[in-house]
Amino acid sequence: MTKLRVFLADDHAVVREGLKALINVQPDMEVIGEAGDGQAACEQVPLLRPDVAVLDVSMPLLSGAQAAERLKKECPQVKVLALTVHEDKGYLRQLLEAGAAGYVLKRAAAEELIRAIRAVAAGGVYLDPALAGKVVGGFVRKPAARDVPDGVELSEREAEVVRLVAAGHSNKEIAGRLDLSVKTVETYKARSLEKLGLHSRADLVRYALGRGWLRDA
Amino acid sequence: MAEHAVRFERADWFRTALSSIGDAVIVADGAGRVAFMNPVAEALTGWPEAEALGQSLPRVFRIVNEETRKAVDDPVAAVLARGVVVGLASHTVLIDRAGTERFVDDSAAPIRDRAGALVGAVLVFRDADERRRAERCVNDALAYAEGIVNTVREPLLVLDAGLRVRTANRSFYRTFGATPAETEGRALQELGSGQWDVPGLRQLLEQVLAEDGAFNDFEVTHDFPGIGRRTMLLNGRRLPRHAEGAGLVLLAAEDVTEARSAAHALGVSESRYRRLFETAQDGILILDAGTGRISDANPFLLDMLGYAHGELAGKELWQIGLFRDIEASRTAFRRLQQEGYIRYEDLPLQTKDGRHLDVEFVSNVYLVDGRPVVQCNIRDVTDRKRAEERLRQAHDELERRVAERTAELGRVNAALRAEVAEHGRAEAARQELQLRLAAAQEEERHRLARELHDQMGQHLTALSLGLKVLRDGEPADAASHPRLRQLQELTELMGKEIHQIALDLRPTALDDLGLRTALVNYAEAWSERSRVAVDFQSSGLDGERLPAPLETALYRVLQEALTNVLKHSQAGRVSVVLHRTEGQVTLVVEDDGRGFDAEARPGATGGTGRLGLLGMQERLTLVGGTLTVESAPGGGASVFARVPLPASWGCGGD
Repeated sequence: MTKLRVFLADDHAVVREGLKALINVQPDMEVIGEAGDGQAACEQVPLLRPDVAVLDVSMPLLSGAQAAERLKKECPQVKVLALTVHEDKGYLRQLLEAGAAGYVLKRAAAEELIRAIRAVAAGGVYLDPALAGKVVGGFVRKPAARDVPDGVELSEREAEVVRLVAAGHSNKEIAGRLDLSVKTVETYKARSLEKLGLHSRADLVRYALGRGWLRDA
Repeated sequence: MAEHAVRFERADWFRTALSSIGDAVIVADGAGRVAFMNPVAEALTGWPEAEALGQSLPRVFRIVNEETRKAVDDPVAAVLARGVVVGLASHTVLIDRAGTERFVDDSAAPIRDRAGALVGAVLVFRDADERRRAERCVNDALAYAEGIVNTVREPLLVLDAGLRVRTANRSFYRTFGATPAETEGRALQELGSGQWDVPGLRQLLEQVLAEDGAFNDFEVTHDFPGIGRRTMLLNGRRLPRHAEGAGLVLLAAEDVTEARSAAHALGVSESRYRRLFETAQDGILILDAGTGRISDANPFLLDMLGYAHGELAGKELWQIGLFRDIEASRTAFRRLQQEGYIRYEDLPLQTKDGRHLDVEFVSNVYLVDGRPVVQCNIRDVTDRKRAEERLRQAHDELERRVAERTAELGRVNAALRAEVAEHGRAEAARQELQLRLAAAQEEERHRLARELHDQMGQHLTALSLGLKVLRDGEPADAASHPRLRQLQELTELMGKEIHQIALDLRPTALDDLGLRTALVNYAEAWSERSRVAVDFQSSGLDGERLPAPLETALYRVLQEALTNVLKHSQAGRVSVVLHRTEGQVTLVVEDDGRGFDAEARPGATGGTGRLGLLGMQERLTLVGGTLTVESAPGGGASVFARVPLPASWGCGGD
């Protein structure tokens, strides 16, 4: 049977050796080439045409993300699996956008790498379980404007207060600008939130963005 | 014919009688023709009897009214017609044959025969010219006198010998508000409210009457009804009245009230002036303006100059050594004579004993009884000048001291300013140092984080892989297998911890992915750990990278703010908003927790929460930013971190 051909790129030799040993002990896969930096990886991968290229994200000369992007263009059939110490979603997105088919945390590599290689080789996507939750949901709400109930109209004063809250002003500043008391501003703000069915300052910012009252992010 | 003889006799007798009387007589017959004229009648009419006989009476006796010039009715015709005596109208003028006119008084009486029949009339008349002229003179004189009396301003009274008012002039009535009715015929002492009932006056008047004398300026002061208290001077004259024996008295009154008070005032003013002159605390010198000789000097001046009155009086001003420059004094005197006024603010004079005086000298020329007189007012200003000099010196001294003190203050001020500047520089240096320190700290953390990730992390990864390979090579029932598995799990745990430590030290995402992503990542991780929902929204920031120190500061603020939320707020939801506007980035962290009294002074409540705020403040200050905290107990808390962008930084976008 044909073994899965795996290319390894990691600037850390000891890690690279460990990874190689881990892969090579698998009966159905072998390491057919390796590199110590992104540049070398980008030179060899097109020549070796592995099934899966495992790239460390943080490498000298060319980062994993840059290498993945280039490989995606030059040999799109090669599945790129990113190997990283970064658990930030930001990195994950960056790599996925660059064309990586999977994302494995180094600290979990011993257990997860083999499964990930098999998954991406089969055309799937593999995300480390520790990161997967963040991508699908979590506690941070997506920055999408909430639906505001139809027919809700803010009074001129309320709209003015909402606009200023959304622009990042404190109640005291708004009170000073509109020549109102702080209490009155608080009242306008609370009433506006209630009318609009919103709950937070961030909601008001999105509402204001939706109305074109602020410049979008 | 004895009867006829008697008649004739009687006729001759009558004729003789009529011819010899002083009045003119004309006898007319029953037809009104002249039958007889005596010589006086001939003379008055200009007709000789021989020519007049048989003429009609009006032809001979032509009479007209003096005023109307119309012919007066023939008196004889009237007598013959009515048979009564007719008196001639007054003002009858007889025009004689030559045309000469004269006043006449006349009367006509009828002549009857024994039977009583009217047989003629006799006209008796006389030349009234003399009387009429005398009457006219008297009338003219009366009118003249009356005119004068009524024109005279002074009230006049004419009294008779019993001191009753015969008449009073208009001025009298006007002055005393009396009417002729209540005045004329009354005794003097009864007039008005008895104001004329003055014993002295009565005596005087009686004396005047008795001795045909006069009196002048008899003064009466009295409260007259209606005109008030007046002073009158009375003059009395006896008017000789030969016909009336005792005669009349003319009494004239002159109201001298105003004149009296003016004279009195003049007297008062004069004595006041004299008193002033004697007691004035200025020297006063009176000169004859013509000659320049001293006519008077007041005691103060004598005292001032040390001269006796006698030494000055009659001398010329420049004879007494008062003035140093005699020629200048003469010139000044001439100027004074011309201009009537001269003034010196500061004139040096010399006293008799040679002392030097500074005086203020003012001269005026004025007239006294038509003679020009110079009054010089001389005030000794030596003391004043000295005082002024001392004042000036004191002022200069004060000015000098003020200038000195000002200069000193200026120096101190400059020193202070330098010190302040030094402080400012020191503060700037301190900030710069702190900023560098913070940057170095961040750099160090960054290095450590990288090290942990790249070295420790790699090593742990290698270790973990090695252990995995070892374990996979062992049969599952081998005694070492669980051990290897434990070691591998431990390694993985270490990896996680190292990652957390690295993240806390310095998130690589902040450097690699930018502020917004780093904030989102941190907020997500925090939310996961704390189980508090975080709502993140940004505006105005298009994946733009901001200056590193600013990004770090805001990242740290978020860390600190969320730590505070977790520690103190018991919030259920947190909003994190990042605004990028022109020239400024604002991070707002707002929770719906229990809040606190944001107005309380930092440190007043103590505790780590406060220290957390101070830490944020400090970080923001380093990048020129500010921290505003808005909260009230029960109302959640909002932290506003604002950082200005460098002017060179564009507005949004890359």
